[in-house]
Amino acid sequence: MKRTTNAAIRKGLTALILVCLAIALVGSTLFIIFSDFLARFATDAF
Amino acid sequence: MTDPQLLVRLARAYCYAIAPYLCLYLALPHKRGGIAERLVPGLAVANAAFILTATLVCELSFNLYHVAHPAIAAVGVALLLYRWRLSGWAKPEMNTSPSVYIFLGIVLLAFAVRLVPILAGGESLGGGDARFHNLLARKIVVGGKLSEDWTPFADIGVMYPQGTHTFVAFLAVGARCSVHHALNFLFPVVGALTTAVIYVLARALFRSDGAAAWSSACYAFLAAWGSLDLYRWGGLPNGFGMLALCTMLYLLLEHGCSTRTYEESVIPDKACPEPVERTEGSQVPKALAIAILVPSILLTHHYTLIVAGIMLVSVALFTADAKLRGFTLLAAVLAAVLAAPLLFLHYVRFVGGLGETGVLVFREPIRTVLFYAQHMGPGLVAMFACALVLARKAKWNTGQVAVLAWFTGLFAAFVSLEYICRGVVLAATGGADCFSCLTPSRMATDMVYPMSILSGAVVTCNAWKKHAKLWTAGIVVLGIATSGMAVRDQLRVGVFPEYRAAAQWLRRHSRQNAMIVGNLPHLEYLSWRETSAPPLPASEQRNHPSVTWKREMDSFDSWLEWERTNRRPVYFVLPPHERGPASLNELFFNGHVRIISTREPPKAVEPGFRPRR
Repeated sequence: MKRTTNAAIRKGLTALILVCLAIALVGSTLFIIFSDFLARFATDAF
Repeated sequence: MTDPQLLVRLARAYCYAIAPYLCLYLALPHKRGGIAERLVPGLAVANAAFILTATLVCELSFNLYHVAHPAIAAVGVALLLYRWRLSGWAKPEMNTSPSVYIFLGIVLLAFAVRLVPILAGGESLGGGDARFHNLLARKIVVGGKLSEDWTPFADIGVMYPQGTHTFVAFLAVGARCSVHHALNFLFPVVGALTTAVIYVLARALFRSDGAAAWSSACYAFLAAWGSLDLYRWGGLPNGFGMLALCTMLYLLLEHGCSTRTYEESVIPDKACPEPVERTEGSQVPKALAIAILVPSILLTHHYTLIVAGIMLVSVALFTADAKLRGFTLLAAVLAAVLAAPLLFLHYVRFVGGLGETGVLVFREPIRTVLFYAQHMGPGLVAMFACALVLARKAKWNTGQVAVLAWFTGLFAAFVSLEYICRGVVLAATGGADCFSCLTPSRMATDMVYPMSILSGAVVTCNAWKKHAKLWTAGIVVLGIATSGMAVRDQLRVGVFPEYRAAAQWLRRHSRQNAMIVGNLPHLEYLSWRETSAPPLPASEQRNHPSVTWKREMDSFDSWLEWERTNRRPVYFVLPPHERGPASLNELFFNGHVRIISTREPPKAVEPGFRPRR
């Protein structure tokens, strides 16, 4: 019973990781496409 | 740090600082177990206990803690001896298997790799954030207590927790050296200790010495951000905070894994001894350790407290083990109860000024996921991906799932902050702004800890058993490449002899209320004068009007007008190719930095001074 539960949680977490990765890849692609536009925003580095 | 004797003095001061707390920890009624399983968490808890105690006492007086420390040491040694006497002067259990030597080898090598750039690179003031860490630590030494404000550099209160700075100040006084030496010394110490904690944590998770060695080697030699790169960044408080957090996770999961049987766990390798029975013995040391670790995180690094919150919530949400969930929730409640008074006492006055900090509105360049993978350590990311893919059909135990949940929580938070939050802001402002909050790159930095731990799963897979030598060769090559590059890139971190000369000239020849206009690394620390661009971290009210007015002074004339109005001397620090208005006198020039002012040049000829042609 425990094994199944652990396995199910792990599958759920893996799915969540893949969803986050997909969002990150889409965000990165958009960043590359609009890099000129996004480069104008200031940074807070001291 | 080029003097080996200084290194010895710092090592002695460090041992003096944490030995009393280590004695107190070892004197607690521990359950049975190997010496490493007590000593490694004991060292981490001793660091946390020192930070907690010293910082709280330093709130009143730094000197008071210096008086109290020998008394704490005496109590610690007495209790340890008493405990030893109760056990009939029994010898501690010593494990002399080859795995112990592998463990010691990895930890010592981790220490050495982090020490090389500090020793070999020349006199370093520290990288990145060390610009303000040095200021806070020296203010403790000079002021004799925790700093309440950033004067003379900025007229705002200090929100940054000063646990690390108290530690640095204590070491600097003990070793009779500058605070930047003490700060630099602690980077290899934290790196080696975290490597050791990850070893015992991975060993408890995988019940395998091989997996433990693999996980700790991944952290020590493959991870860049959050590990090899800490010195360049200057992120010592984050290092201390994550050390405490990994120790807390070990204590939590040691409990969580206790109910798992061998069959429910992954198949152990042959080198692994029988797992220690973990259900016997008192839970008091563990509870006490967590009660020390949580407030020490608060007094060390606020961001790590957020990471701790994500960890506790993720583990509590995604665990099938009711006992682990209960213990995690208990730890979360304990954390809240212990942290609340400290938060209330220190930060309630800053709540209204949160909007003036960089916490909720933080601007850093947006990066691609490839950039993050490259900077976290490509070898580590590859190893982590291999571990997840290869172990997909293995039976994961509760502890492993909990660490995966921690990673998932951090990754989801990172993606939300770096991509979703920015997208929402862009849409909401009609493309006028693109800020984020809570510094997403730090979330990525802290992801390397669960990634390193889970990378140990590689050793439990069939692919490892078939090609063990190939895998080992792979990690050795990757480790040498990553560590070598980290050492090479950090050799000259914080080494600015040309800037030091200019800053020290300003310290000798300018009045204490002088204003320095310009931005050189560590200018404030070396000159101890107010500057036009003080190095304030994101947690501070750096958008307060008492700071932002300087950004609006964009010309020589505006500063000269300010000088006349306020009757405070202004010195302009310029790059060599800029000369400034002809009406100003050149006071210093060494080929790298030029200092000009309305003041007359000093009468004595200074080294580096060349009259204007």
